[in-house]
Amino acid sequence: MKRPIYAAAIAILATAAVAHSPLETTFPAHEASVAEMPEEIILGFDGNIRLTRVSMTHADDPSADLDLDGFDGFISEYAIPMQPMGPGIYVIEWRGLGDDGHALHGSFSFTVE
Amino acid sequence: MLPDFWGIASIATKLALYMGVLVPVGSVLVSVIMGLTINRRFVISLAILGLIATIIGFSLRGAALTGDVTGMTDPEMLGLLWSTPVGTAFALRLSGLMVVMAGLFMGRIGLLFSVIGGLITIWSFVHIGHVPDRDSIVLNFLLLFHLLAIAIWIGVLFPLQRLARDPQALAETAALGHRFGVMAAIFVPLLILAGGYTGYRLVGSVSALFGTGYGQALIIKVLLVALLLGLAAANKFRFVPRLTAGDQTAAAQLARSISMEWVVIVAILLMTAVLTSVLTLPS
Repeated sequence: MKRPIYAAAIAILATAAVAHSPLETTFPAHEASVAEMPEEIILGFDGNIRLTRVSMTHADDPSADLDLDGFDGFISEYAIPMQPMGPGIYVIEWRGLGDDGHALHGSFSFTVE
Repeated sequence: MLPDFWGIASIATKLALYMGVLVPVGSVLVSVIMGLTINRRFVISLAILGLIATIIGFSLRGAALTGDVTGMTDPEMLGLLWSTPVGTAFALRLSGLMVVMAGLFMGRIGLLFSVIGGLITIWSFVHIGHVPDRDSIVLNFLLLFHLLAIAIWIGVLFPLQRLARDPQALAETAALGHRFGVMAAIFVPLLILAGGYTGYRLVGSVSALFGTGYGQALIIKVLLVALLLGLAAANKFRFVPRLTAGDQTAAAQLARSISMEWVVIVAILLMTAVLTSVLTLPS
């Protein structure tokens, strides 16, 4: 019975503001500050999804799409490699398709100090 | 909050889809149930509208996956969609509407094909959407009943209005109006019950009904349905009895009343398109 409470807490603390987002966990967590640039970002969903587009905006740089070529099929956890671009705020926007046919999208952000 | 360009495009596509499915399927069904002749050119035009809306609707879902117009024709995105229930509904809708059209060129026996095509098309609606998401056989059954009943309603209106405008067809208009009235007396109460239960299952609470965009849009739809029922009741209890008594002016009034019914029906379908495309269910 703890799971819904846990999921709700995660949803409030760690994921994006988009309603009905199935994104349960992210690394780095939403609005977290990290000391070191992560080599990959992790998106954990509460169901199987196929990510179709993930873009990253760093500070004032133009947004760039992350490479999703290594992924296939509908899965619930994505670890996507990213290029370190130095300190600043990173905003990750994602779009995907749930295996039930629903188009899904959302975003999260974190800061590298 | 107003929907963006993609929201408006998907609402317009949904409205076209509803018209392009309900009019052809309804026309074919009433042709079988009530023995009415089909205006083939008209039914085929609407079925083509349904086909186009089906294809554009599928393509728009591709755009939702990339967030821009390239997704509409991206083979990878459309291929992904194809592998989900969205693809199943797309295939059922396309093939169903084509069978409906093909049947219209095959004489009396072709009507059977058209009916089967119509049922396949309607069946596509239990594969994707808010109701199928509930994963309840009862709700899916109610949705099928709801769609078939409104298709028949819409299917009757065209021939009834055409007859009402024909001064030579007074007795025929009265007879069709009466038969439709008898059918409606059975299926309208069932529709109200089915709609009430489905709405309750989808929205869940009085606070969600008044406090969410979905609930408020549903209230508008229900008010429009009440208006439609009022018009239909006027037809049944005022104009049809006068027609049966041979009153020529009642035919013109019935034809006008049906025009108003059309306006309300399109408004209802528009609200439904808003409910099913840009609004999410209260969680």
